[in-house]
Amino acid sequence: MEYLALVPYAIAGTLLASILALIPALHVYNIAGIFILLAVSAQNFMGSNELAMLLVGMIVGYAMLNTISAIFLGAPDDSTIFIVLPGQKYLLMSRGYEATVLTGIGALGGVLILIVLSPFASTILGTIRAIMLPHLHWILGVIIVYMLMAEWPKGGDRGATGLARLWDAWKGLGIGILTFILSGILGIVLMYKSPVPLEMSFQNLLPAFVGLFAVPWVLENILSGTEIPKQHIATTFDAPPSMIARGIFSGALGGLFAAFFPVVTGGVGGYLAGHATAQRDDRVFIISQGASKFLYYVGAFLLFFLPAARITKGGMAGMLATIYTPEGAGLYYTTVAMIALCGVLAFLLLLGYARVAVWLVQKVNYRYISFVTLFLLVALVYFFTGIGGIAIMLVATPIGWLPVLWGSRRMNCLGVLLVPITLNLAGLGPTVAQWLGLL
Amino acid sequence: MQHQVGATCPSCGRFVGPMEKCPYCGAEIKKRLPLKYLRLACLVLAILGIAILVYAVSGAATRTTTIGNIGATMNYAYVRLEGTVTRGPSYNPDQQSLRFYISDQSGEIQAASLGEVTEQLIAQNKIPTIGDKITAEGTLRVRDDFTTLNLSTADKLQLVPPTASEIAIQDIGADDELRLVSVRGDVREIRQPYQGLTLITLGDASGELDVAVNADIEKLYGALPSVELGDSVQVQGIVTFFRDSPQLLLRNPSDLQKLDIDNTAATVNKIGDLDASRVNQRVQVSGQVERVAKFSQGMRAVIADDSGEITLVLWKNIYDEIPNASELQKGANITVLGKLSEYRGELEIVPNRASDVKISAALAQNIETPQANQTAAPNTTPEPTNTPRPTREPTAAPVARTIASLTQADKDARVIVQAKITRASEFSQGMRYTLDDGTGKIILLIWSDVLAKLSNRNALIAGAEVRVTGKLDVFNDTLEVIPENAKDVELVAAAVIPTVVVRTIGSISTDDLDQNVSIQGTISELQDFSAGKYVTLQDDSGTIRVTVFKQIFAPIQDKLAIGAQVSVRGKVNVFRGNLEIVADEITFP
Amino acid sequence: MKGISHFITGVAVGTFFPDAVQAAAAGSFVLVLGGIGGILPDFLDFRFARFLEEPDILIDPHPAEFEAQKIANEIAAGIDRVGETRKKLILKCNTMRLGPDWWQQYSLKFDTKNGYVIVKLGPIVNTSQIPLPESERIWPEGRAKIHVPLLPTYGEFTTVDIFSGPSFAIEWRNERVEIDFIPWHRQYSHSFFMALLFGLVCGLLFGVTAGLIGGLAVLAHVLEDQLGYLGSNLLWPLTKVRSTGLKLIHATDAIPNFFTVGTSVYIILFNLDRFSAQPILDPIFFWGVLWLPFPIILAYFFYNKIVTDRAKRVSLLEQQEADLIAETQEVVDA
Repeated sequence: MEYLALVPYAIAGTLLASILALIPALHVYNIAGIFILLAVSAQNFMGSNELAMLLVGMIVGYAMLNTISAIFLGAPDDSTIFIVLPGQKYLLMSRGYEATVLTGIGALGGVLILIVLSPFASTILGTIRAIMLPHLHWILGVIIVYMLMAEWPKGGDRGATGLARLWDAWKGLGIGILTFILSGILGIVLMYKSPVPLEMSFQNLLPAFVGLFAVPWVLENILSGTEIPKQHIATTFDAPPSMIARGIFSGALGGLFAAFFPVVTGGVGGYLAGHATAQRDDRVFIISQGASKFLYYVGAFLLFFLPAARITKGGMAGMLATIYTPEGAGLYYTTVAMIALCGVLAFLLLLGYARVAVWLVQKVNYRYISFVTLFLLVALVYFFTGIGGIAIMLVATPIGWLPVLWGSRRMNCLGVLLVPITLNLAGLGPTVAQWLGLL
Repeated sequence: MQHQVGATCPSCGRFVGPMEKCPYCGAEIKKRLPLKYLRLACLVLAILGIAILVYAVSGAATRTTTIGNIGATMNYAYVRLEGTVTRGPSYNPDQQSLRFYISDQSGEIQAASLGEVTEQLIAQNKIPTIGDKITAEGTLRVRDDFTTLNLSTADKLQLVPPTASEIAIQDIGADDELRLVSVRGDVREIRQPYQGLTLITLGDASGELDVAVNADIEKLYGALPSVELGDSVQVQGIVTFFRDSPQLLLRNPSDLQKLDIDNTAATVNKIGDLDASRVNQRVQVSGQVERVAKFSQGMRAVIADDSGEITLVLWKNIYDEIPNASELQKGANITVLGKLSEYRGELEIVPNRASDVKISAALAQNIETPQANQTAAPNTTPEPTNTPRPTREPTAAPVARTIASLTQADKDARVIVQAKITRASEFSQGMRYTLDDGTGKIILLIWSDVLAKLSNRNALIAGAEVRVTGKLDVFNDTLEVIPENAKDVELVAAAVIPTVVVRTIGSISTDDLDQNVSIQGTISELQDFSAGKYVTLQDDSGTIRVTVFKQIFAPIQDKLAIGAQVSVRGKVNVFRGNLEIVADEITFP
Repeated sequence: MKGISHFITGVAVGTFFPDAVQAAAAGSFVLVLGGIGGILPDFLDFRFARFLEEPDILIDPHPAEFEAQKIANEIAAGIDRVGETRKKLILKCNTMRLGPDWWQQYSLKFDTKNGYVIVKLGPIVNTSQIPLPESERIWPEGRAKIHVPLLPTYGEFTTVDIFSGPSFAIEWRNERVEIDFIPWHRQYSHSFFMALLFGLVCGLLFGVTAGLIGGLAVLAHVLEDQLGYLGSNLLWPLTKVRSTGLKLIHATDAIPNFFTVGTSVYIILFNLDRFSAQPILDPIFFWGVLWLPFPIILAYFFYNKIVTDRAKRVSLLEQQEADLIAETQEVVDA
């Protein structure tokens, strides 16, 4: 019965996340970081179980609701972009609301998958983990190689000669590889000689991620001039049950893989699953991304509560593990229940907030929103990581912008995580750091 | 289809997207945005930015912090720490892991190296050992219940070993903790309390102390030099305290060196020169035996030389181990090494080992029997023709008696008592059992030499019924029956051991504190600590940590692996606020 | 098969070598060679061969001035030229991009029965090939006569719409003109020679086991591709023609791909475990229970396929061409 007292905290977390998720590029880990700071500095700030449930509610809310800013505030300009992502396509077809709902349906599927798998997680994951533990480094190496080798060349159709065409195609691929390498070097720097203050090391990657992913996106919004067409709020959606099932299944594979496997993020997991299940339809893709994203964020955090496993995956668990150790199967299943409750609540909020977003983008020039977002991002980075973090952000921004301008894959920016960790797992991290003069 | 300005070629009208030159007709595209320059600028900035960043930070020193400053928000920080190695190293060659503890003024932290870093440390002979001053760099891993510094490279580790100072054993005090000292003495005892730890008792003139040799040291540096009892050695070690007693921790097997000199332990003293000021020192005396008397716990003898007399106290276990103990008679020559103590105003010399007592046969004719002080009932004793020990007086056939009928007046009588064991407790010289036959209680005292010969000693637990033949004695106003041989203790009925109920992990709570419980589960985590392993066990109901000391897990360490199914019997304990079980036994169902 | 299926098969192949698995556990990256070998054949084709092909006839129409007849005449003339000169020609049809997500579709057909090349303008489609409503214009089709014997080929229209358009090799063989669809794909890169070459390179650089892993991974890719409708030029350079495959699956069939990926993952886990110091998996439970859904799903797939194929009676050439088109069109990629 004591676990019932935790329900309000979980709901509060979801409500808080629902507001914050509307702010483009603001990550739930940043807000969680503030709560952790408060918990560390203020003794009686909140009970530890209560804080944990608040964060559960927050991450469920974020995983469901951050779709809104991604779809409604990321409209591309065809002067600056050659490839339109599926969510953006829907926005430009006045179907942004529908895309949001499809993503939410995928996420709801993710809730269901978590509930169904939660009793078996301990046995299955314990076994897989024991087998894979000595092999993490080369598995990550395999993922990196696949990411780089499987990137499709954009261009190369026009050119006077074969070499000209080859160059045209490989420009983008080459930039992709360069992006990966540069972000990898950045990651190594952050691992050994980060200019972020020592006391804020738990947010070491914040300025890098903001610079690699958030700022280029916001800058793109500011520089482009696309008019978003009037949006239609659909009352039905164009996806038969079989398509929904396919999307959820595909997304679940990727999301669960990313939730469990070290270093792999939701984007990588969704990407791999999309290839593994041979997706082509935009609707399937959108639904699968919804499921993948939800399972990555929430699934990874749920693993932290798994009895006896102590799996710390993802930023949220990593932060909470420094001040809290969950105990017992009771708390684990309570967390599952909170995820279900907050997941449904978040979906309902999604439907409402999507309408608000439709109204917002048609009333307010999203360029202004982007300016405000940019200011918030810089302020956030400075608050957590000071001048050192601002410097990192400034270095990361052009790296993150390379894929946007050259048409390569943004996922290559994940080199900031993949490279240093893969090298470290293989025992080569310090060697490479020494080559760079960092050690 | 509408496009942005610049998205189509002004010459041929084809869609060109972000291209600066039309791929169809070759016309230059004037763009709203100077994309070409933006792209190039972005590329240049990206490369330059990283280059500048690497250049800027490569010159900076790694940031130093104190252990006390380390908090939750410093997770993943790369730092430098300075301090002293206070524990370890603990070395696992299978996992290639090396763990030790660093302490500075503000706290203590565990440091660890894995894989190649461990190999480098060993290859460079940079193994952090207790007492070393250390500067280390690594990445902090901060968790709720522990913090570790993971070393990244051996190159950044600097060690300054301590300088040893010679000291007498008795002078070692609390202020010497973690200092490197050098002592000389002779090897008094060598034992292995559990697998992985060797204790060598070293004695000099002033006292004795244990030198602890961790098996990890031998794995890292090689085997300990072979020493035997009585060898004179010099040992350098770090002073630590175990249960308030000082001990030396050996840093390297080569820190133990055999010496060519004899008898560093104690100088031969004139008895007359010994006085109360030398109490607790180890002394050696030589003389002649004047008197010998038995007492309940052993033998007393008076030794005299030309300067005086002193009482020699031989505890029973020591006496029984002296090869020619029977020659301890009036007139025998004796050399004894032992601790000088004072009892009721009289000085006594008390040896710790049988090897410290050297007796040469008595030349005198006046032999007094060891039981001269004891009374007997000669009218009732049968002829002693078959007694195996001729020094003993013939004894009466033992009589079966109830406990209630026994009084202090029956002291020295041989009796047979049949009763149930209600309590068992160990003491340094053997075991004491409380017997209850329903009429009263008596102490059954079994000396360790008799105990060692008892084949069914494990069955002597509370609830077992025994028949004991032994001599009655009085100690501290308490009646005791003392069997002289293993065959004098007979198990009549074994204790009924209640069926141990295997409990679920989730049912264990603080209500079970200090209770013995039995659980089954799957091993989900293994973590080393200095004296053993923490094993996290899980079943469907929950998880619990099991503390397994080295002596328990050493025989089964090959089987202890993540995923293994085990049964654990042990006592429920609370350690640092967490419920745990301290294992007595681990089996594999 | 999809790239990831080949890739992970290559990794699975590597895990059959105990010394490689043990070296991997000790820090080696040797098993990555399996993945590289697995994806190498398609990597070489789609990142190099595709761009280096020099077309002899380039069809590059303008969306506003689409001349179907001119295109048909040009193609037919090319076919006739091959018949006269017996020299191979490469025909490349470029796409017409209208926007970031829009393409003008057109299609062409080799009507071998009547001896015509037919070209038609289609609707505007998006990158998912969904037509924009009401975008199909009434436009005259082009029709040109062919004057040489032509091997009966895919009898329906080949659409040219998104990304890179198809190419055709027009070649005189067996006393007639034969047309190979997307000729640069599955040639040298999908041969035994390539398996041998990559194996040798890996072996010279990293040792015998690495060489075996690399070579066998390439071979696994090649053999997997034989399951489809179009095989490959297995004996390149001794042969010039791509074989017909076993016609069991299409390259992009979801279930066979999922089965391949899933089974490979199972194999990897099983091998990593059985070559470890303390195996924990029970083979019978692992393969007999946990893996069981995969062959069941695959059996269900084949059952459906047999039923569907019987009903549809699709020609071999159509199936081969569909496979090639699917392979050359990118998966939605973020």
